[in-house]
Amino acid sequence: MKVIIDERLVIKNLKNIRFAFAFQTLALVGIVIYDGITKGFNNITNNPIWLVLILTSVILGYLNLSISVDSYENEKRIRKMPYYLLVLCCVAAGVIFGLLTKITSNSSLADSIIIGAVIFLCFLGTFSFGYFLIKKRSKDDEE
Amino acid sequence: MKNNVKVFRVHADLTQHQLAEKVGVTRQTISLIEKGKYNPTLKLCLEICYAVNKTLDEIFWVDQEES
Repeated sequence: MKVIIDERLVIKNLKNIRFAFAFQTLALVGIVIYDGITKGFNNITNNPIWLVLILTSVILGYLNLSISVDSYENEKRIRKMPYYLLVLCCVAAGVIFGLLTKITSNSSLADSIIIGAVIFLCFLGTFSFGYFLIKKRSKDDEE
Repeated sequence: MKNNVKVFRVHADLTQHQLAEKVGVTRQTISLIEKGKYNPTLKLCLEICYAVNKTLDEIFWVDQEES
């Protein structure tokens, strides 16, 4: 197969892929909903397609972070914020969620610690990615 | 967007197919650029300029009122 180098066709190809992606996503959501109706909505999360949908949205979210960073208005405020403050905010989120788990359900201390740690890591990963992206962009601007 | 690609291509004695081969795109793309139905990237604009030995100004400049 010939490699397409024509910029117009490359853009057209990307638009086609976007359309196919939207169609595929709709079809997958349809399958998951159908599965939910026939086998019960509690079983939705057991379906591997559910995992595919979740992972796709996570990947899309991370890729779109660079777009959000570009259009973020309060960039200067974030740039001046020291990194340790960001880590502290994530620790606070982890502790709050851990405590909420302990208070609202009958789960053990180990469970609430695990949930708190997972929430902390998720927050830290996402915010660190955004933080270093903003730092990198602002460094590029200054150069 | 309006441009003078067709005029200078004919001046350079090139067919759409020859120009397309020189700049590495398809003939349809050159045709759409000439008709003003596709806006090429700056890179492709420069390639076209090199191919017909003209400047960007001469081929792609349009006055603000016209654009």
